[in-house]
Order: sequence, then C-alpha cells, then structure tokens
Amino acid sequence: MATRRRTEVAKRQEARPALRKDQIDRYSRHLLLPEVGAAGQRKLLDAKVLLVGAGGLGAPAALYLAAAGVGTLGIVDFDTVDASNLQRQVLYTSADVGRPKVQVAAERLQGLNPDVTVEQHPVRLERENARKILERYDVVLDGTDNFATRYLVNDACVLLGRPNVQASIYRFEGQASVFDARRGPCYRCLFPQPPPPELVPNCATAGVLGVLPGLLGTIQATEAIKLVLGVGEPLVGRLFLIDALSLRTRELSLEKNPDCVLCGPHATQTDLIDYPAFCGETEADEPEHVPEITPEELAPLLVTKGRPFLLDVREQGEWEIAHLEGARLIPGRELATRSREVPDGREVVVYCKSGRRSAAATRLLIDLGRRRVRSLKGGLEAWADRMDPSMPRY
Amino acid sequence: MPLVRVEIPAALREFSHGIETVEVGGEDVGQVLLALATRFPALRDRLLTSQDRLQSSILVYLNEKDIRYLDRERTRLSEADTLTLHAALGGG
Repeated sequence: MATRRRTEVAKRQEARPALRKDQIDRYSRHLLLPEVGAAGQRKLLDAKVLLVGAGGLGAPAALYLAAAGVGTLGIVDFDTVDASNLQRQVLYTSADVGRPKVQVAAERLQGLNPDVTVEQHPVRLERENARKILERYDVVLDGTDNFATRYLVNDACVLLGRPNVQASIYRFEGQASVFDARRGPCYRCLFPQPPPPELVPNCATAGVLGVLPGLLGTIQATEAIKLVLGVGEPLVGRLFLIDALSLRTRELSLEKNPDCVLCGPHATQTDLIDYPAFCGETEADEPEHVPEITPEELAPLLVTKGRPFLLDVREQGEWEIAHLEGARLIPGRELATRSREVPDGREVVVYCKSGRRSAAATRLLIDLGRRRVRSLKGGLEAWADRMDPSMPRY
Repeated sequence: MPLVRVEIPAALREFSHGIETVEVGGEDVGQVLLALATRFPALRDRLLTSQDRLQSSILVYLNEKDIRYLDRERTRLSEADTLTLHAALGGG
C-alpha cells in the first residue's frame, strides 16, 4: 500500500513540467533556498494537502500553504462565517458573515494564488465520509475544535498511512505535533482516551487569544511544507507547547505506545468507530432530565414581586458579555462549594448559554436538597432569540 | 518524604488559583497527585478518575520522561524532581 502510494506521488512529480516564467517570479524566494529550489517547488505544486477545519488554525495555515504554492488544498468545513470568527479567522472579512467558509476560502485562496486548486468539502467530517475524503491527500492538517473529530482524523490518518499535522489551542496555550504512525506515535499513543465531556475546555465559552491560532496554524503550515519537501526535522515524536502569556515554549518527547489499540504491535482497532459516543458526547447532548422553564414562562415571572432567584452558572467573561438583570453569577464549577449562596426557600431559575450547564447545575442543587429549582430551557441563546434580540451573542 | 516541584499548565491553572508551580511532598507520583488534588479540590476531577487513577487526557512527565513509560503512578520520586503536567487541548 505504502509502496503504491510512493509510486503515485513519484509519477505525479515526473509528469510535472518545468516552472513557468510567472511561477519563477512568484516563487523566487523559495527557489533561492537550496532546501527548496525548483525541484522542491514542483513538489509543492504537486502536493495535495487537506485542512480539516477552516477556523482559527485552518485559516492562517490555508493562507500560507496557498501562498507557498501547494497545488491542491482540500478544505473540510460545514460552517458559515460568523461575526465572532473575525477576531482570529483571518481568511474572512466582515462582508463574508453568513457565507459558507469553504466557498469564501476558495475565492480568497485562488485570488492569492491561481496555481492553487481548492477542493471544497462543505460537510461535517464523519466516520462515513472520512476515509473517502482523506485518502485523496498526501498530508492532513487537523485544525478542528472538538475531540471527537480529532480522534476521527487521527484514526483515519493511521489507517490510511497519512501524516497528521495537528495543533490545538485553549485561551493562551497551544500545542502542535506531527502524528505519523509509520515512524512515530499517533494521537492515541499520547491520549488513549478523551477527557470526560463535562471537563472539556471549550474556546466558545472560555475564550481564546485571537493571535494564538495564528501562531499554531502557521506552525502546522510549516510542518506540512517540510513534509512535502522532505526537508528538516518534522515534529514527529515531539509535542511543541507554547504559553502566549509568558511566551515560553517547551517540547515534550513522545513515545510510540506499545499498547496503542490503533498503531501498536497488538492493535485491536482496525476500522473507524463511533466518535461522538467514544468522546461521551452522545450522552452530553442529552441534557439532564431536570425541571425546566421556557423563556416565555420566565419573562412574566421577572416582573412579579416574588420573582425567582436567577442563578447564572457561566464564566465571568461570558457574564460580562451579557446576563439577565438581577442575576447572580456562580460559575458551575464552583457551585458545589458555594451552594449556600443560593437562597433556600425561594424559587431558583438557573441559566447558562445553551441550557446544558444549567441542567447539570440544577441537578446538583436538587441533589443537595433544593426543591424549587428549574433550568432555563435553551439558555441565553433561546432568551436572545425569543425574548430579547438586542442581547449580545457570543 | 521527598519534596518535588510540580508544574501546572496554563489550561489547568484556573483550577489551581492561577498557581504555576507548587512544591508537593510524596514518595511516588500517585501520592503527589493526590496531595495536589487535596490542595486544589477543583483540580481533582481534571487529574484523577473516581478511582484516583490518572485521567487518560493528562500527561505527567517526571523530569523529561512520561511516567507511563516508567512505573506510572507508582513511579518513585527523589528530592528536587520536577513533575510536569500537561492537559489535552481541543480547541481550534
């Protein structure tokens, strides 16, 4: 399989004509580098690189890969451009809000470099389509925002024999590595299991420094280009870490796990699996069965004398963007130790962004013996949709 | 009981009152992790399972070596060792 693949790549390279005059002009700074030169530039023009996710990481990576002359760029993203993306997703402009990301990306990248063919995959990467999409590419860049897709990309790359250039971020911290099970560890060697879903940090609620994915996404582009050229020392078997607040970097040495179920000598996993279930997301998608109140039911109660105690269980930064008047903030992770701050004997309505965290908090309060507690169904998103369209969203 | 230095990554510092490094006593890695969880209760679920085993999404390095390739939680510690924690990040 690997030999056949090498032959395919070699054939593509042999078939490639010499660089045109306009290409020599465009890529002259590459041509001057002995590590690239005309032969290397032809390799880049021949290369097929897939970006999974055109968000914070994928956007800068895509720009540099296109500028470098990577001939075929595939982009998988089902999402549309949102105003909250513009703080870091530098592929998009204000005028693109609401448009499909892959479509905007294709226009922008082809405008940057007409040598590049952008293949649009406006779908969610799933077990059913992953192999078919990934097998068309030489190198895969994982810039997704959830663990289920990270494990899916890893597993598909291992099974197809493709290098997976991965980066991930949280607030001010980032990490990057190249997972290539043919010569080093895979992501499962590092993290055999994902974190429990209730403990997964999420940039949508915790925030992220806008420039951070720029740092990590360009590292991914660097690694992809090195892999295509076959130069330098790739980040295989190493985990690069950066803390933007201190601007300290460090590297952890990674080993291939002999017990890895996917790439170890006694591997038991030979196919893709149900990733949302593996990551516990299926259960998390079904909020706790707790008493609920709809925005329409809550609104009239707020103008009565016996108005309920409003408990906001989000984080401080979320609170500062928007909150319900008169509410009290106790982040959900602190509720167990601060439950005494919730008045007893008064009706309590708990809310968060979408209704999931508030359901868990409601369950906690009920388990602690509170009786009149309800969770705001759909959270502030539903409230903003149906009761207060002027409320800022995030 | 040896005192070791524990480095807490940025992603977990919100559960350690912002503290970056801390000195903790313990004969082995497991004891240090338990002591850390006692000192910072909010860290417990992030670091340990309900059976007090290390979560699979957390890496612990003793000096420069992953403890999974030493003796896991039973890895013995010496004075002046450094334990580095690292959490899987998911954002993109």
